[in-house]
Amino acid sequence: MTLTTFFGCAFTAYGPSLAIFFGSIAPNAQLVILMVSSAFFWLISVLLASAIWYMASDSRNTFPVTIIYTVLLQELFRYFLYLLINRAESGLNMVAMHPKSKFNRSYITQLVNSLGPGVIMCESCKTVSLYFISAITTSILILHHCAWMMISFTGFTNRSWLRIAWVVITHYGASYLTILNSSPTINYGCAYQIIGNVALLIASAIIVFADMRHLHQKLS
Amino acid sequence: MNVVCYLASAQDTYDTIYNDIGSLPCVRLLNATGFVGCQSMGAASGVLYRADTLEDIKQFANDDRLGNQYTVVIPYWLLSSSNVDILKSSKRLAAILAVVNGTDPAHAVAARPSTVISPDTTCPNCEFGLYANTPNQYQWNPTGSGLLFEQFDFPIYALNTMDTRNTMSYASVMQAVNRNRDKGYRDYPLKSLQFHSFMWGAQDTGACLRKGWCTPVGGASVWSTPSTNISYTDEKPIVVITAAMDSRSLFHDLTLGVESSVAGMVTVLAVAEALSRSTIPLDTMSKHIVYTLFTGEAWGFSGSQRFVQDITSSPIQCETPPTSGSGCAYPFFSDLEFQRLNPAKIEAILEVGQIAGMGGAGGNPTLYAHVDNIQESVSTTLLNQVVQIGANGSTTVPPAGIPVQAASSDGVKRGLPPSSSMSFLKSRGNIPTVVLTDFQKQMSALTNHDQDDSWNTPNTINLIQQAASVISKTAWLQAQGVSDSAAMTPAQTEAIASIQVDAGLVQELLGCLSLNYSCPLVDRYLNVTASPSPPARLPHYSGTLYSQSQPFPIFAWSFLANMTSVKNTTSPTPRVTGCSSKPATVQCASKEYCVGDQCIVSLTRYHDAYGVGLAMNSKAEYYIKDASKPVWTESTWDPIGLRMFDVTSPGSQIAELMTGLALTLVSSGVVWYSRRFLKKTLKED
Repeated sequence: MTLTTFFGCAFTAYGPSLAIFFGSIAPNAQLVILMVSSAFFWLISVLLASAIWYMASDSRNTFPVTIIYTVLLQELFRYFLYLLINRAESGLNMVAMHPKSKFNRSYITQLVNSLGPGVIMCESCKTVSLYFISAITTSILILHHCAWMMISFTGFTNRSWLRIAWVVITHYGASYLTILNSSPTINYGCAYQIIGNVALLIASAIIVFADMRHLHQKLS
Repeated sequence: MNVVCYLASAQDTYDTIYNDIGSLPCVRLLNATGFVGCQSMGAASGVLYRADTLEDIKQFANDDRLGNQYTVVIPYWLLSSSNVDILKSSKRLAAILAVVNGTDPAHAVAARPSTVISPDTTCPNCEFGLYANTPNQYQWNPTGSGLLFEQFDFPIYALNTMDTRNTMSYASVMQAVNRNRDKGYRDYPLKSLQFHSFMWGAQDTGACLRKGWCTPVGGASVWSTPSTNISYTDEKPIVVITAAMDSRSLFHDLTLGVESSVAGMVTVLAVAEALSRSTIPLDTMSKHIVYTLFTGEAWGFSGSQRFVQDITSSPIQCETPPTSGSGCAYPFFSDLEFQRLNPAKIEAILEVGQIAGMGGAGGNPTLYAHVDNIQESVSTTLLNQVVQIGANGSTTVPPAGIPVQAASSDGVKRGLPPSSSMSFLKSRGNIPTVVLTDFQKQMSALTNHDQDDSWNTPNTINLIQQAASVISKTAWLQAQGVSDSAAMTPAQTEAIASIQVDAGLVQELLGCLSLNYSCPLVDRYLNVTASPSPPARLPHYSGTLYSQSQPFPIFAWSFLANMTSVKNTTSPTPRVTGCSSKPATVQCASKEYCVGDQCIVSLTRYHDAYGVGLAMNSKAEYYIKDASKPVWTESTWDPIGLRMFDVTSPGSQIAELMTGLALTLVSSGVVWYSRRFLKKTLKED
């Protein structure tokens, strides 16, 4: 991709999360620690996922199979992080509603590797580069994770199975939607993917706002 | 997640995006006054655009709806300075891909125009020839376009379906360019091609040699003689039989030169084989026969001029002997045996020039014998002998029937065409010399052309056979000192009858040295098929000095060594065999060579071939010794390559950047606003 596309994609993928980081996380040291630790847990889950991916050489190119264990691992580690934070310092419970993670380092690596004049086109939307679609997807997934973090932690604290189930199911849903990007048969698959993911994100955001309002009312 | 799965590793990423294309580049060459050829400063890249005709080229130049930079794919025959100027005037030209041979109807042999224009000058290498200082010297290649001497500041590469890899490259480029054309060159994504073609050498040979950014063009010439006991002082006259081994064209990987050099080389090899049958051993004759095959001839007669310069300067004063082996470290000579040749004793030169019959002039093929017009009289006897033997041969050698005429038979004395003999005559003008060619007035239009890849095989074989027959018999009579065939002894009559050129061998040599180096004949000598990828068609460009393998000189050496040693020796003991097939048990004696699995004694040597204007100093660096003589060098370059990929339109790239910036700004705004809102709400509570 050219330099223009590179910066376009970088801003698209990380602009919103950077805005959140500089706008609300960076000023608070505690939040930075939380974010780094959650990112660390996420990285462990991805490390394990990639180890499985590497060993399971037969299913390497089968996205649906890869997604099953990748999402499962991420959710498990989200729970481990919850347990750790809960146990380590109960005081952090208060701020545990604002963590964020998922600095999708793989995407950055891909961006750098792909610097050059050529691009890969998106299989389902042949006029748009896969990089740009992936940038949008990455941006949405980061926001997804922010929401899921809050919903799942509320779920773990309140033993609300519905919230935990929502996180797991929508995580699978969001991941499987991305398969549409590379679908050779579905025209405009990338558009359906983005629309679907944005819809899921809005639904999650509504849950987060409802929970926040509830918490706010409880506290005041 | 999708991207992570899709692009598993960096190499996969590269392979998914890029398709590397086999590259056949035009490169930069430098001489005393400047440079020629192609180069680009940076990595040029452009959207593939197809132009099959001159109209297409004009349309490309005038189509204002096109933007961006383009790589234009054209048939080779449209590559001319005027067409390049039209393409450049569009300001959209990034690079040119010239299709020499292709399967698309627009690139097929049938589509080639009937008039071929040689890319060389109107008189190739004449500035270094015998008549360089003669006013109004005869122009042997009057239609020459001089394309080889143009400077191009953008990359030009060739496409040619000559082997599997290049056929695949051609197919993928054609698929891509056709897709772009179907999309009207506007409906992105389009396929684009990027070229790396940076040439280090700049300015001229003097400047680039000082910086070490170029290497002399050259290689190895080969000389051989059946007289293994020849010496400088033996007072025996010498008959030289010579031809060139190399050629040049715009794309060095495609240089074939069947017309320019291969046919001549085949002729000399066939002569060596025919003479080796002589029942009177050649080394017992009253004159020595010396075969010379010169490399670098396409570059100002570098091979022959250096050979003549070296043999005329013997004995060599070797200041620094080599640490091992033969030759001399400074002044550098890889071998010093050439000092056994006495240039003053050269009494006849028989040269084979262009004789493949690819001139396309039509009519009956005829061989023409050219002589020098300055000291014409010294060559008269030799010329008459050649013509007379040609006349006898044409009636007795079936199926040739090819007449041999004096080139001046039409009354015009044009002198010698560009040839290696000129190098000898420049040193001493009174050597009887005949140059045999298939043209009388004008060189083939395929001279140094990249499309000299189709010839009429039976016709070419006949011409070579007749030329070899004439030259072998003339040389034999010369070596025997017989001026009149009527005065021959019975033994001589029998011996000359034994000299027959083997048409089968000519055919085999022609095939081996043009399109299939891994043929059984070459394999018998060099075991080429044992290599993991046996070579087929090899370029006939000489390459750069000491840096490239020299397949044709190596074969010529082996073949001549075999032919000049075997059948002429009176030794009754059979040769020792198995030196290469059973190296552990069979070893050749010292001074013996292992050639074709046999131990032989031969006086066959390589001779360095590079421009005589160049010299090597004691630090093994080259410098210009005499800028008026050939000093051709080839620029060094970074790894050269071509890759093909999809590009998005410049508009959509800007849109991507704008989207990213907008998203970042909007989210910053949202974050800032929600923080303020939350603070306010919480405070109010």
